[in-house]
Amino acid sequence: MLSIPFLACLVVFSIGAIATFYFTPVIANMMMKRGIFGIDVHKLDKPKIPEMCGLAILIGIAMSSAAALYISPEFSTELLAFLSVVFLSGLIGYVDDRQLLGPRLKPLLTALAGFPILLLGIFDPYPVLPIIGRTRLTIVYPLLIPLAIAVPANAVNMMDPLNGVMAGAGSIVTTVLLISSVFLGRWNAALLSAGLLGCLLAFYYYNRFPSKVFSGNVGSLTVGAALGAIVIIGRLEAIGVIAMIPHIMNAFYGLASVGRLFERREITVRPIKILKDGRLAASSDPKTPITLTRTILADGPKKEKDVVNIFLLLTCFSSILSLLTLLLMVIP
Amino acid sequence: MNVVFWLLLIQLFVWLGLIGGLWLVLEVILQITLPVTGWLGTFLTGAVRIGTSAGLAVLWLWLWKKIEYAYFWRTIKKSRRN
Repeated sequence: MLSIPFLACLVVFSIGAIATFYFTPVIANMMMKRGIFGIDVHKLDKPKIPEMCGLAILIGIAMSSAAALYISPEFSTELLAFLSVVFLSGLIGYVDDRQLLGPRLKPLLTALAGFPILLLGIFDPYPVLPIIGRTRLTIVYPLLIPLAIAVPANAVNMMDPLNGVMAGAGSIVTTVLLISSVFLGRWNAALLSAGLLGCLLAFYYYNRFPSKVFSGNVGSLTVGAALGAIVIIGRLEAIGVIAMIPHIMNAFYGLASVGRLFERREITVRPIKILKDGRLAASSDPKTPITLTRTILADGPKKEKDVVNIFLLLTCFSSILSLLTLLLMVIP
Repeated sequence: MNVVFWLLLIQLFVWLGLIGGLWLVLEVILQITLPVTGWLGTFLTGAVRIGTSAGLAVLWLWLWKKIEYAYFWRTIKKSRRN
Protein backbone atom coordinates (compact mmCIF):
# COMPACT_ATOMS: atom_id res chain seq x y z
CA MET A 1 0.00 0.00 0.00
CA LEU A 2 1.26 3.50 -0.74
CA SER A 3 2.26 5.38 2.38
CA ILE A 4 -0.62 7.74 1.76
CA PRO A 5 -3.82 5.67 1.13
CA PHE A 6 -5.58 8.75 -0.23
CA LEU A 7 -2.99 8.97 -3.00
CA ALA A 8 -3.62 5.30 -3.87
CA CYS A 9 -7.36 6.03 -4.13
CA LEU A 10 -6.65 9.07 -6.29
CA VAL A 11 -4.45 7.04 -8.66
CA VAL A 12 -7.07 4.26 -8.97
CA PHE A 13 -9.84 6.86 -9.44
CA SER A 14 -7.88 8.63 -12.20
CA ILE A 15 -7.06 5.43 -14.09
CA GLY A 16 -10.74 4.34 -14.00
CA ALA A 17 -11.87 7.78 -15.15
CA ILE A 18 -9.29 8.14 -17.95
CA ALA A 19 -9.92 4.61 -19.28
CA THR A 20 -13.71 5.03 -19.33
CA PHE A 21 -13.46 8.54 -20.76
CA TYR A 22 -11.25 7.24 -23.59
CA PHE A 23 -13.11 4.01 -24.36
CA THR A 24 -16.73 5.29 -24.22
CA PRO A 25 -16.62 7.19 -27.57
CA VAL A 26 -14.53 4.38 -29.13
CA ILE A 27 -17.18 1.80 -28.18
CA ALA A 28 -20.00 4.19 -29.15
CA ASN A 29 -18.56 4.53 -32.69
CA MET A 30 -18.09 0.78 -32.92
CA MET A 31 -21.70 0.12 -31.85
CA MET A 32 -23.13 2.67 -34.31
CA LYS A 33 -21.09 1.11 -37.16
CA ARG A 34 -22.49 -2.32 -36.28
CA GLY A 35 -26.04 -0.98 -36.05
CA ILE A 36 -26.29 -1.56 -32.30
CA PHE A 37 -28.27 1.45 -31.15
CA GLY A 38 -31.39 2.30 -29.20
CA ILE A 39 -34.02 4.97 -29.77
CA ASP A 40 -34.26 7.69 -27.12
CA VAL A 41 -38.05 7.45 -26.80
CA HIS A 42 -38.28 10.43 -24.45
CA LYS A 43 -37.21 12.92 -27.16
CA LEU A 44 -39.49 14.32 -29.84
CA ASP A 45 -36.98 13.69 -32.66
CA LYS A 46 -36.37 10.09 -31.45
CA PRO A 47 -32.55 10.11 -31.93
CA LYS A 48 -30.52 6.92 -32.41
CA ILE A 49 -28.11 6.44 -29.50
CA PRO A 50 -25.34 3.78 -29.45
CA GLU A 51 -26.19 0.95 -27.03
CA MET A 52 -23.99 -1.24 -24.80
CA CYS A 53 -21.48 1.56 -24.16
CA GLY A 54 -21.38 0.35 -20.54
CA LEU A 55 -18.63 -1.95 -21.83
CA ALA A 56 -16.37 1.08 -21.28
CA ILE A 57 -17.25 0.97 -17.55
CA LEU A 58 -16.24 -2.69 -17.50
CA ILE A 59 -12.90 -1.83 -19.16
CA GLY A 60 -12.41 1.08 -16.73
CA ILE A 61 -13.08 -1.18 -13.73
CA ALA A 62 -10.60 -3.76 -15.07
CA MET A 63 -7.87 -1.15 -15.55
CA SER A 64 -8.46 0.57 -12.20
CA SER A 65 -8.48 -2.83 -10.46
CA ALA A 66 -5.18 -3.72 -12.15
CA ALA A 67 -3.75 -0.46 -10.78
CA ALA A 68 -5.16 -1.24 -7.33
CA LEU A 69 -3.54 -4.70 -7.48
CA TYR A 70 -0.17 -3.14 -8.39
CA ILE A 71 -0.44 -0.57 -5.58
CA SER A 72 -1.87 -2.91 -2.93
CA PRO A 73 -1.01 -6.56 -3.67
CA GLU A 74 -2.23 -7.49 -0.15
CA PHE A 75 -5.80 -7.04 -1.41
CA SER A 76 -5.35 -9.48 -4.32
CA THR A 77 -8.03 -11.95 -3.12
CA GLU A 78 -10.60 -9.17 -2.65
CA LEU A 79 -9.74 -7.77 -6.09
CA LEU A 80 -10.03 -11.21 -7.68
CA ALA A 81 -13.47 -11.75 -6.08
CA PHE A 82 -14.60 -8.24 -7.09
CA LEU A 83 -13.44 -8.63 -10.69
CA SER A 84 -15.01 -12.09 -11.00
CA VAL A 85 -18.39 -10.80 -9.79
CA VAL A 86 -18.23 -7.71 -12.02
CA PHE A 87 -17.17 -9.63 -15.14
CA LEU A 88 -19.77 -12.37 -14.66
CA SER A 89 -22.49 -9.72 -14.25
CA GLY A 90 -21.17 -7.80 -17.25
CA LEU A 91 -21.28 -11.00 -19.29
CA ILE A 92 -24.90 -11.62 -18.22
CA GLY A 93 -25.70 -8.03 -19.25
CA TYR A 94 -23.97 -8.52 -22.60
CA VAL A 95 -25.96 -11.71 -23.29
CA ASP A 96 -29.16 -9.91 -22.22
CA ASP A 97 -28.41 -7.05 -24.61
CA ARG A 98 -27.85 -9.44 -27.50
CA GLN A 99 -30.32 -12.28 -26.82
CA LEU A 100 -32.86 -10.97 -24.26
CA LEU A 101 -32.85 -13.05 -21.08
CA GLY A 102 -36.18 -13.59 -19.36
CA PRO A 103 -37.36 -11.69 -16.26
CA ARG A 104 -36.66 -14.72 -14.04
CA LEU A 105 -33.43 -15.96 -15.62
CA LYS A 106 -31.61 -12.61 -15.33
CA PRO A 107 -31.97 -12.27 -11.50
CA LEU A 108 -31.10 -15.96 -11.11
CA LEU A 109 -27.92 -15.62 -13.18
CA THR A 110 -26.87 -12.43 -11.36
CA ALA A 111 -27.37 -14.28 -8.06
CA LEU A 112 -24.98 -16.97 -9.32
CA ALA A 113 -22.48 -14.21 -10.13
CA GLY A 114 -22.10 -13.75 -6.36
CA PHE A 115 -20.52 -17.18 -5.93
CA PRO A 116 -16.86 -16.03 -6.34
CA ILE A 117 -17.26 -14.07 -3.08
CA LEU A 118 -18.52 -17.22 -1.35
CA LEU A 119 -15.85 -19.45 -2.86
CA LEU A 120 -12.99 -17.08 -2.02
CA GLY A 121 -14.45 -16.47 1.46
CA ILE A 122 -14.23 -12.67 1.14
CA PHE A 123 -16.98 -11.86 3.62
CA ASP A 124 -17.40 -11.31 7.32
CA PRO A 125 -20.58 -12.87 8.75
CA TYR A 126 -20.54 -10.42 11.68
CA PRO A 127 -22.05 -7.28 10.14
CA VAL A 128 -22.22 -4.10 12.21
CA LEU A 129 -25.74 -2.69 12.25
CA PRO A 130 -26.84 0.80 13.35
CA ILE A 131 -27.79 1.13 17.06
CA ILE A 132 -27.46 -2.66 17.54
CA GLY A 133 -23.73 -3.00 16.86
CA ARG A 134 -21.95 -6.19 15.83
CA THR A 135 -24.23 -9.15 15.05
CA ARG A 136 -23.50 -12.84 14.44
CA LEU A 137 -25.08 -14.17 11.22
CA THR A 138 -22.77 -17.12 10.50
CA ILE A 139 -25.49 -19.27 8.90
CA VAL A 140 -27.70 -16.66 7.25
CA TYR A 141 -24.99 -14.32 5.89
CA PRO A 142 -23.46 -16.69 3.26
CA LEU A 143 -26.98 -17.50 2.05
CA LEU A 144 -27.64 -13.79 1.54
CA ILE A 145 -24.54 -13.14 -0.60
CA PRO A 146 -26.10 -14.18 -3.97
CA LEU A 147 -29.04 -11.88 -3.10
CA ALA A 148 -26.63 -9.08 -2.16
CA ILE A 149 -25.33 -9.17 -5.76
CA ALA A 150 -28.60 -9.92 -7.59
CA VAL A 151 -30.69 -7.24 -5.83
CA PRO A 152 -28.43 -4.19 -6.48
CA ALA A 153 -27.56 -5.44 -9.98
CA ASN A 154 -31.21 -5.69 -11.00
CA ALA A 155 -32.26 -2.58 -9.03
CA VAL A 156 -29.65 -0.47 -10.89
CA ASN A 157 -30.73 -2.18 -14.14
CA MET A 158 -34.35 -1.15 -13.46
CA MET A 159 -33.37 2.42 -12.55
CA ASP A 160 -31.99 3.36 -15.95
CA PRO A 161 -35.12 5.02 -17.35
CA LEU A 162 -33.86 8.47 -18.35
CA ASN A 163 -30.64 10.12 -19.53
CA GLY A 164 -27.93 10.06 -16.86
CA VAL A 165 -29.98 8.51 -14.04
CA MET A 166 -28.03 5.24 -13.81
CA ALA A 167 -24.58 6.84 -13.96
CA GLY A 168 -25.56 9.91 -11.86
CA ALA A 169 -27.32 8.01 -9.07
CA GLY A 170 -24.61 5.31 -9.20
CA SER A 171 -21.91 7.98 -8.74
CA ILE A 172 -23.68 9.40 -5.69
CA VAL A 173 -24.07 5.94 -4.07
CA THR A 174 -20.41 5.12 -4.84
CA THR A 175 -19.29 8.42 -3.28
CA VAL A 176 -21.11 7.44 -0.07
CA LEU A 177 -19.39 4.03 -0.09
CA LEU A 178 -16.02 5.73 -0.65
CA ILE A 179 -16.57 8.22 2.20
CA SER A 180 -17.78 5.46 4.53
CA SER A 181 -14.91 3.09 3.76
CA VAL A 182 -12.33 5.88 4.23
CA PHE A 183 -14.05 6.89 7.50
CA LEU A 184 -13.99 3.28 8.74
CA GLY A 185 -10.44 2.70 7.46
CA ARG A 186 -11.50 -0.10 5.09
CA TRP A 187 -8.99 0.62 2.37
CA ASN A 188 -9.85 -2.40 0.23
CA ALA A 189 -13.39 -1.07 -0.27
CA ALA A 190 -12.06 2.50 -0.59
CA LEU A 191 -9.83 1.50 -3.52
CA LEU A 192 -12.66 -0.38 -5.25
CA SER A 193 -15.08 2.52 -4.69
CA ALA A 194 -12.55 5.06 -5.99
CA GLY A 195 -12.04 3.04 -9.19
CA LEU A 196 -15.79 2.62 -9.75
CA LEU A 197 -16.44 6.31 -9.02
CA GLY A 198 -13.86 7.35 -11.63
CA CYS A 199 -15.52 5.10 -14.23
CA LEU A 200 -19.04 6.32 -13.40
CA LEU A 201 -18.18 10.03 -13.47
CA ALA A 202 -16.42 9.65 -16.82
CA PHE A 203 -19.37 7.70 -18.21
CA TYR A 204 -21.83 10.28 -16.79
CA TYR A 205 -20.11 12.91 -18.94
CA TYR A 206 -21.39 11.14 -22.08
CA ASN A 207 -24.59 9.67 -20.60
CA ARG A 208 -25.96 12.87 -19.00
CA PHE A 209 -28.90 14.72 -20.56
CA PRO A 210 -29.02 14.76 -23.58
CA SER A 211 -27.37 11.31 -23.77
CA LYS A 212 -24.77 10.57 -26.42
CA VAL A 213 -24.45 6.95 -25.24
CA PHE A 214 -26.61 4.31 -23.53
CA SER A 215 -25.03 1.94 -21.03
CA GLY A 216 -27.19 -1.07 -21.94
CA ASN A 217 -27.72 -3.99 -19.56
CA VAL A 218 -23.98 -4.68 -19.73
CA GLY A 219 -23.34 -1.33 -18.01
CA SER A 220 -26.16 -1.28 -15.48
CA LEU A 221 -25.69 -4.88 -14.31
CA THR A 222 -21.93 -4.29 -14.02
CA VAL A 223 -22.43 -1.18 -11.88
CA GLY A 224 -25.09 -2.79 -9.64
CA ALA A 225 -23.02 -5.93 -9.08
CA ALA A 226 -19.92 -3.81 -8.38
CA LEU A 227 -21.86 -1.86 -5.72
CA GLY A 228 -23.05 -5.13 -4.14
CA ALA A 229 -19.52 -6.57 -4.12
CA ILE A 230 -18.04 -3.40 -2.56
CA VAL A 231 -20.71 -3.48 0.15
CA ILE A 232 -19.83 -7.10 1.07
CA ILE A 233 -16.04 -6.70 0.81
CA GLY A 234 -16.09 -3.43 2.79
CA ARG A 235 -18.68 -4.66 5.33
CA LEU A 236 -20.85 -1.65 4.49
CA GLU A 237 -24.16 -3.55 4.38
CA ALA A 238 -26.45 -1.08 6.17
CA ILE A 239 -24.85 1.96 4.49
CA GLY A 240 -25.22 0.43 1.02
CA VAL A 241 -28.88 -0.52 1.52
CA ILE A 242 -29.82 2.95 2.79
CA ALA A 243 -27.90 4.77 0.03
CA MET A 244 -29.80 2.70 -2.54
CA ILE A 245 -33.30 3.48 -1.17
CA PRO A 246 -34.39 5.24 -4.44
CA HIS A 247 -33.29 2.15 -6.42
CA ILE A 248 -35.14 -0.12 -3.97
CA MET A 249 -38.23 2.14 -4.12
CA ASN A 250 -38.25 2.00 -7.91
CA ALA A 251 -37.89 -1.79 -7.99
CA PHE A 252 -40.43 -2.31 -5.19
CA TYR A 253 -43.09 -0.12 -6.84
CA GLY A 254 -42.67 -1.96 -10.13
CA LEU A 255 -42.84 -5.41 -8.53
CA ALA A 256 -45.76 -4.44 -6.26
CA SER A 257 -47.84 -2.98 -9.11
CA VAL A 258 -47.15 -5.76 -11.64
CA GLY A 259 -47.18 -8.52 -9.02
CA ARG A 260 -44.22 -10.44 -10.49
CA LEU A 261 -40.75 -10.03 -12.00
CA PHE A 262 -41.03 -8.33 -15.38
CA GLU A 263 -38.98 -6.85 -18.22
CA ARG A 264 -39.54 -3.31 -19.48
CA ARG A 265 -40.16 -4.62 -22.99
CA GLU A 266 -43.07 -6.75 -21.69
CA ILE A 267 -45.04 -3.62 -20.78
CA THR A 268 -47.28 -2.79 -23.71
CA VAL A 269 -48.79 0.43 -22.29
CA ARG A 270 -45.94 2.78 -21.36
CA PRO A 271 -46.05 4.32 -17.86
CA ILE A 272 -44.78 7.61 -19.31
CA LYS A 273 -45.91 9.50 -22.39
CA ILE A 274 -44.25 12.34 -24.24
CA LEU A 275 -46.30 15.49 -24.90
CA LYS A 276 -46.19 17.61 -28.06
CA ASP A 277 -44.03 20.21 -26.29
CA GLY A 278 -41.43 17.53 -25.39
CA ARG A 279 -42.35 17.31 -21.71
CA LEU A 280 -42.94 13.94 -20.06
CA ALA A 281 -46.25 13.03 -18.39
CA ALA A 282 -47.40 10.10 -16.25
CA SER A 283 -49.90 7.72 -17.76
CA SER A 284 -53.15 7.49 -15.76
CA ASP A 285 -53.81 3.97 -17.08
CA PRO A 286 -54.21 1.69 -14.03
CA LYS A 287 -52.74 -1.25 -15.99
CA THR A 288 -49.27 0.29 -16.33
CA PRO A 289 -46.72 -0.34 -13.57
CA ILE A 290 -46.07 2.35 -10.97
CA THR A 291 -42.42 3.31 -11.27
CA LEU A 292 -40.46 6.03 -9.53
CA THR A 293 -40.44 8.05 -12.78
CA ARG A 294 -44.22 7.82 -13.01
CA THR A 295 -44.54 8.84 -9.34
CA ILE A 296 -42.29 11.88 -9.95
CA LEU A 297 -44.53 12.87 -12.87
CA ALA A 298 -47.79 12.23 -10.98
CA ASP A 299 -48.39 15.92 -10.12
CA GLY A 300 -48.01 17.11 -13.72
CA PRO A 301 -45.79 17.04 -16.84
CA LYS A 302 -42.12 17.91 -16.46
CA LYS A 303 -39.05 18.32 -18.69
CA GLU A 304 -36.85 15.22 -18.80
CA LYS A 305 -33.93 17.14 -17.30
CA ASP A 306 -36.06 18.17 -14.29
CA VAL A 307 -37.13 14.55 -13.70
CA VAL A 308 -33.47 13.45 -13.83
CA ASN A 309 -32.57 16.19 -11.30
CA ILE A 310 -35.32 14.92 -8.95
CA PHE A 311 -33.89 11.39 -9.23
CA LEU A 312 -30.45 12.72 -8.29
CA LEU A 313 -31.91 14.81 -5.45
CA LEU A 314 -33.64 11.72 -4.02
CA THR A 315 -30.34 9.81 -4.20
CA CYS A 316 -28.54 12.71 -2.45
CA PHE A 317 -31.14 12.55 0.35
CA SER A 318 -30.77 8.77 0.74
CA SER A 319 -27.00 9.33 0.83
CA ILE A 320 -27.39 11.77 3.71
CA LEU A 321 -29.55 9.17 5.51
CA SER A 322 -26.88 6.58 4.85
CA LEU A 323 -24.16 8.83 6.32
CA LEU A 324 -26.43 9.30 9.39
CA THR A 325 -26.62 5.49 9.52
CA LEU A 326 -22.81 5.40 9.47
CA LEU A 327 -22.80 7.69 12.53
CA LEU A 328 -25.33 5.42 14.27
CA MET A 329 -22.98 2.49 13.56
CA VAL A 330 -19.90 4.09 15.10
CA ILE A 331 -21.55 5.77 18.11
CA PRO A 332 -21.05 3.30 20.99
CA MET B 1 -42.04 20.57 -5.84
CA ASN B 2 -44.76 18.92 -3.78
CA VAL B 3 -43.80 15.56 -5.24
CA VAL B 4 -40.21 15.88 -4.03
CA PHE B 5 -41.39 16.63 -0.48
CA TRP B 6 -43.62 13.52 -0.46
CA LEU B 7 -40.97 11.28 -1.93
CA LEU B 8 -38.46 12.50 0.67
CA LEU B 9 -41.03 11.74 3.40
CA ILE B 10 -41.53 8.23 1.98
CA GLN B 11 -37.74 7.75 1.97
CA LEU B 12 -37.65 8.85 5.61
CA PHE B 13 -40.40 6.32 6.40
CA VAL B 14 -38.42 3.56 4.66
CA TRP B 15 -35.23 4.51 6.54
CA LEU B 16 -36.93 4.67 9.94
CA GLY B 17 -38.71 1.39 9.18
CA LEU B 18 -35.40 -0.32 8.31
CA ILE B 19 -33.53 0.96 11.38
CA GLY B 20 -36.45 0.48 13.78
CA GLY B 21 -37.40 -2.88 12.30
CA LEU B 22 -33.84 -4.20 12.57
CA TRP B 23 -33.65 -3.09 16.20
CA LEU B 24 -37.04 -4.65 16.99
CA VAL B 25 -36.13 -7.97 15.34
CA LEU B 26 -32.61 -8.32 16.74
CA GLU B 27 -33.11 -6.80 20.20
CA VAL B 28 -36.69 -7.79 21.04
CA ILE B 29 -38.15 -10.55 18.85
CA LEU B 30 -35.02 -12.74 18.75
CA GLN B 31 -34.87 -12.56 22.58
CA ILE B 32 -38.32 -14.16 22.94
CA THR B 33 -38.15 -17.56 24.67
CA LEU B 34 -41.29 -19.62 25.25
CA PRO B 35 -41.66 -21.34 28.63
CA VAL B 36 -41.67 -24.80 27.00
CA THR B 37 -38.73 -27.19 27.50
CA GLY B 38 -37.22 -29.83 25.20
CA TRP B 39 -37.16 -30.02 21.42
CA LEU B 40 -40.75 -28.78 21.19
CA GLY B 41 -39.81 -25.63 23.10
CA THR B 42 -36.82 -24.98 20.82
CA PHE B 43 -38.98 -25.55 17.74
CA LEU B 44 -41.84 -23.35 18.98
CA THR B 45 -39.49 -20.56 20.09
CA GLY B 46 -37.81 -20.59 16.65
CA ALA B 47 -41.16 -20.62 14.86
CA VAL B 48 -42.48 -17.70 16.92
CA ARG B 49 -39.29 -15.67 16.36
CA ILE B 50 -39.27 -16.27 12.57
CA GLY B 51 -43.04 -15.83 12.22
CA THR B 52 -43.10 -12.55 14.15
CA SER B 53 -40.08 -11.16 12.28
CA ALA B 54 -41.53 -12.12 8.89
CA GLY B 55 -44.92 -10.67 9.90
CA LEU B 56 -43.26 -7.40 10.88
CA ALA B 57 -41.40 -7.23 7.54
CA VAL B 58 -44.62 -7.93 5.60
CA LEU B 59 -46.49 -5.27 7.62
CA TRP B 60 -43.77 -2.72 6.84
CA LEU B 61 -43.87 -3.53 3.11
CA TRP B 62 -47.68 -3.41 3.10
CA LEU B 63 -47.71 -0.02 4.82
CA TRP B 64 -45.09 1.30 2.40
CA LYS B 65 -47.16 0.11 -0.60
CA LYS B 66 -50.35 1.64 0.85
CA ILE B 67 -48.67 5.01 1.42
CA GLU B 68 -47.20 5.04 -2.11
CA TYR B 69 -50.46 3.99 -3.78
CA ALA B 70 -52.53 6.48 -1.78
CA TYR B 71 -50.14 9.31 -2.65
CA PHE B 72 -49.80 8.32 -6.32
CA TRP B 73 -53.48 7.93 -7.19
CA ARG B 74 -54.55 10.99 -5.17
CA THR B 75 -51.95 13.09 -7.01
CA ILE B 76 -52.88 11.67 -10.42
CA LYS B 77 -56.59 12.45 -9.80
CA LYS B 78 -55.75 15.96 -8.58
CA SER B 79 -53.55 16.70 -11.60
CA ARG B 80 -56.25 15.39 -13.99
CA ARG B 81 -58.79 17.79 -12.40
CA ASN B 82 -56.48 20.80 -12.94
